[in-house]
Amino acid sequence: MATVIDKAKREGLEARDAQRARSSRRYLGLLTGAAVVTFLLIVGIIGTILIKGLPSINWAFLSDLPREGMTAGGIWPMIRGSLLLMFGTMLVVLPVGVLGGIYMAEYAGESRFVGLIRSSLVSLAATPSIVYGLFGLAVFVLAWKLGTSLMAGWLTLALFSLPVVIITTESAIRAVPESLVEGGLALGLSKGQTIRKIVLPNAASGIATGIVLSTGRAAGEAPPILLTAGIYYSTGQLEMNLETLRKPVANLPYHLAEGYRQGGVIPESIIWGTCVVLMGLVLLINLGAILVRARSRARSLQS
Amino acid sequence: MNNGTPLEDYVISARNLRAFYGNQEALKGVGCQVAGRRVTSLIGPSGCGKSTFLRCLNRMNDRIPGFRIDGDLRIMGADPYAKGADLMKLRRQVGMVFQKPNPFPMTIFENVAIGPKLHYGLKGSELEGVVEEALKEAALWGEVRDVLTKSGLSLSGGQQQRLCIARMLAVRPEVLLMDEPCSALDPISTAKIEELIVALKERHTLLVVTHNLQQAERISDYTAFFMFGELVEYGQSTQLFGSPVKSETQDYVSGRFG
Amino acid sequence: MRHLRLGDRLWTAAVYVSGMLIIGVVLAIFYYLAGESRFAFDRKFDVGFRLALQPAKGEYEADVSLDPNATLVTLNREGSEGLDEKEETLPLPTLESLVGIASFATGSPLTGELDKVDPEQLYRDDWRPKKMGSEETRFLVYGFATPEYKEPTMALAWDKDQGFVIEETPYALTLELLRAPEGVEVKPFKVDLKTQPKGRLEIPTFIARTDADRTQGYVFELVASPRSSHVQAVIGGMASSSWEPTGAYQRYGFLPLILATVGLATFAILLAAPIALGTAVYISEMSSSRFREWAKPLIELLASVPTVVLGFFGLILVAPAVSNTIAKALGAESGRSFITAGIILAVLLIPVLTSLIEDSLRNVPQSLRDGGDALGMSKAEVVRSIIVPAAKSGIIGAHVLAIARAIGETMIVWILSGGTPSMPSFLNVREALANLVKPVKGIPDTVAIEMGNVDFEGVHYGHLFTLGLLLFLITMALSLYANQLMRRSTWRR
Ligand SMILES: Nc1ncnc2c1ncn2[C@@H]1O[C@H](COP(=O)(O)OP(=O)(O)OP(=O)(O)O)[C@@H](O)[C@H]1O
Ligand SMILES: [Mg+2]
Repeated sequence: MATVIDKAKREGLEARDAQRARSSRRYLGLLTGAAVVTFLLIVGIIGTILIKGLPSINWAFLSDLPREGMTAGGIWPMIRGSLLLMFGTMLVVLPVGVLGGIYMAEYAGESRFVGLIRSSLVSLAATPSIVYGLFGLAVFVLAWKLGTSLMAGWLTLALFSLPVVIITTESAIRAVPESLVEGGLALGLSKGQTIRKIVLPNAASGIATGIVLSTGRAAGEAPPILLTAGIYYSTGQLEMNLETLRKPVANLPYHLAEGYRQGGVIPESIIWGTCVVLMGLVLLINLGAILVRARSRARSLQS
Repeated sequence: MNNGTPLEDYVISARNLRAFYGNQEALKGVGCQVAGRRVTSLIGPSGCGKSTFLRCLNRMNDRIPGFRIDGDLRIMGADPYAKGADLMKLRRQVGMVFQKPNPFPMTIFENVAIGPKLHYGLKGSELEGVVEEALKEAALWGEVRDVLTKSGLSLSGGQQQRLCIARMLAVRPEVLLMDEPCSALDPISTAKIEELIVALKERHTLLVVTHNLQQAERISDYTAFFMFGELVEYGQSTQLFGSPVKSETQDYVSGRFG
Repeated sequence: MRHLRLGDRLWTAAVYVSGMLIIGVVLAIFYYLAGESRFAFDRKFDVGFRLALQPAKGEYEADVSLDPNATLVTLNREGSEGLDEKEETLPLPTLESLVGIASFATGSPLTGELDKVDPEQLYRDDWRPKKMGSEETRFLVYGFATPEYKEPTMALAWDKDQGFVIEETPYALTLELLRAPEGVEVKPFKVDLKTQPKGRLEIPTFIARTDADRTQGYVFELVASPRSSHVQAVIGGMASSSWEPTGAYQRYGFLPLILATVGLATFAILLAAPIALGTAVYISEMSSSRFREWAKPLIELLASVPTVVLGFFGLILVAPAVSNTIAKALGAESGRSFITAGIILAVLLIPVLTSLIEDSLRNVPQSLRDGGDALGMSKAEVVRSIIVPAAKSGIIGAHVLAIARAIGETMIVWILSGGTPSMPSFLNVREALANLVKPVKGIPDTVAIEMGNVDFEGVHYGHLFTLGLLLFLITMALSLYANQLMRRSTWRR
């Protein structure tokens, strides 16, 4: 049988090698082409939005109220609304999300039941935001009678970001070296104390990254806000008091969605500017999170 | 070391071979000639450059960023690092088996067939014949002849390693490189592979890295002792283990070092 | 020491509660979405038929709806239950009032009982009975000609009301001659309105000579009897092919929405997959680790652009391009259509997919690459015949997850798809291609758009929640399947 190969070696081996090399080059060329397309897309899309939107952005645009029926002036109420939504969501999701992450990392172990919890987590993470919007509408807005309000928005967005917060918290905790935990237990601390005093401080930056990232994403997600908290900006009232909690709030994604729905009322330049602000909000948060991650990695490498 | 054979008859010859990972020099001027149809063992303490040397021979280090080589290396008369040297051809001539068995996640048959199919364009019964023969040479045919369509990953560790050997043999290389082929295996599988190595030298030139000195003594005709990136001593195994020239070798083979 | 232990106990309790909450949320979502869906089952099914007595040969022969004397028999039309808005209705005219205006009239009594008819209580416009139960409903229709009419025969004409889709109604509908005037011989008459929704029947003339005579003439009966249980009817309605929740006759067929959503996801994934796969392989197998370090975050950056921004981008820059090229070529006007939404969805999916695929490629152990190299395979051959197959289930999982993402995506579809529910058509190649430039409406955008204009806890509201529940179940199934695939691909090292 070796003769089969000897024959093959004599006959056309070189031609076949050349052919293989050619088709390999072609294949690698296709891959490179795909990568080029992707990066052109990224740079192109983000760049276009920036180019179209940046000229409208100045201090007045960021700090003024809309004027003349939204055709002039700034978008401060919407920025303020989005920030309010984001920070409130953060406050709501923080305790539950972090405790849930601690449960998954330290208490859950492996069992059928925990498998069920994991499956739930996976499904929740993939559940579309509009479904959370419907849930928030049925439960917070209608059943709990909160109405379309900031508070209903917080609760809805908190639920929407909960699975991601839990997942990132879990992995941040798992990344804390076992030796630290053992050290704590060896000092005579209880499991709970070890987690609070040793694990959490060490995992803090990872957890914070997760929370900021997911609430930032939530604040850019229009559908849940549309159904539970949003209002099209109408008047100039901006007082902040307890009543604000029970009132709907103007915000960036709603402004864009509704501005689109009203069709052509808002001039394009203002919409592009709003796009840039919303994108900037989310992307800056993203960038910040990446930096925090990088810094904490650098620190953990040093120690 | 050179016992009269003319240089070009050696299958492998290296002169002042130096290898670097970035700034770190892993081989510091190694020179040796390896004769054909023999088993040569490479021994030495961990990190002394055995694997590096072996991987220079079929350019397996190409993937590692920052790896560099310097010096003169000939494999069957050709310089594998020459500009425009043909990697495919080199690796057809020089096969390699790794420490941890790494069968591809495909059927047993496909694992062995993929090499000859790509290199020689074999198909159908010719391909089947080559696969069968390679599996026979790797002493695996009897165990897998009825399960050729099962996944290669379903085999035991020892069988997987022999599958990897068969996969390499199916391409018909002249030189076989084996980097600690038995270190992940149980004694019985180890014995089988050792037997195989001895049988394979009928038609192949084998270089085997091992940490097991008895094994090296048992299976090899020649042995090379590496230390700190240098080839300390190289010669017939009986001589190197029986009456080594260098004191470091003496220390190492008698177990006082490494 | 004691209070510490208490603190610990509280802590543990809080941790466990939070863990359990995850299952709780899933159950709660299911419970509330299903719960609110119950309002869909308040749906009342419409029937709308016009009946008129007419001259044997007359001006309204072709279109009964133009006949001012026709009676519209309706069931459960939007807006009222029973005949409570009297001012809307016109009583059956007296003979005197008809002089010089018309020579025919038809009308219906409030109740369906023949022997309790009060001639003063016949109406000839929108006639609305009480809420329809599961039993059959009978409508009586009286009609007469005035002495002005001289021909020996006249005709009963009937037609379904415009907008009423007889194929979708869950009722069996028949029209029958219940009683002929005294002394007039007429063949018994009964038609199935489903097979004959429009028709004429010639009958001997009946002339009312006094007002009391008006109810002594022909009596026709239209019977609507349910063909299935109410629940089946509602579900059957959901399975139908038209979504028109605000028309005169509401239709709640999910099919166009489901097909649009599934179609868009399929289109987007087909467009995104080759590019994402290529990019992922490039990043994982061909690029340096330095490149990878900044490429991955850059890709995730695109994935985190809010979709409403992407939608706007598509609206201003992609839709016009589509409308000037493909849409024009296929004879459509607007750039806001299936293909535009699909393209921008693909833009969203590319980074999502790339990132997931790259993860599963990197999961493939290095030893397999070494093995391929050592066999003398070229880089492309290693990738194509070893790495990609080895990561296969992870790659498939990534696609499944991306499909789930596309199915749930709201804003892009809202802004770009044109917002008109439509069924695809595949009669010939041209029509199949034209599907690309048709406006469509998907599930999530329908929910988001229409929820703003519904009566809470109404039928439309209920249907929107049913759509949400459907979305929840679909994405749940997809994500669990994807998760299973991806877990299978984790390598034991
Ligand atoms: N990929 C790499 N990058 C950087 N340095 C490396 C790399 N591989 C090996 N080295 C270094 O090169 C030197 C020689 O390594 P090599 O793997 O050849 O040793 P070895 O003799 O095979 O050891 P062992 O018996 O443990 O397998 C070591 O100091 C090692 O740290
Ligand atoms: Mg080694």
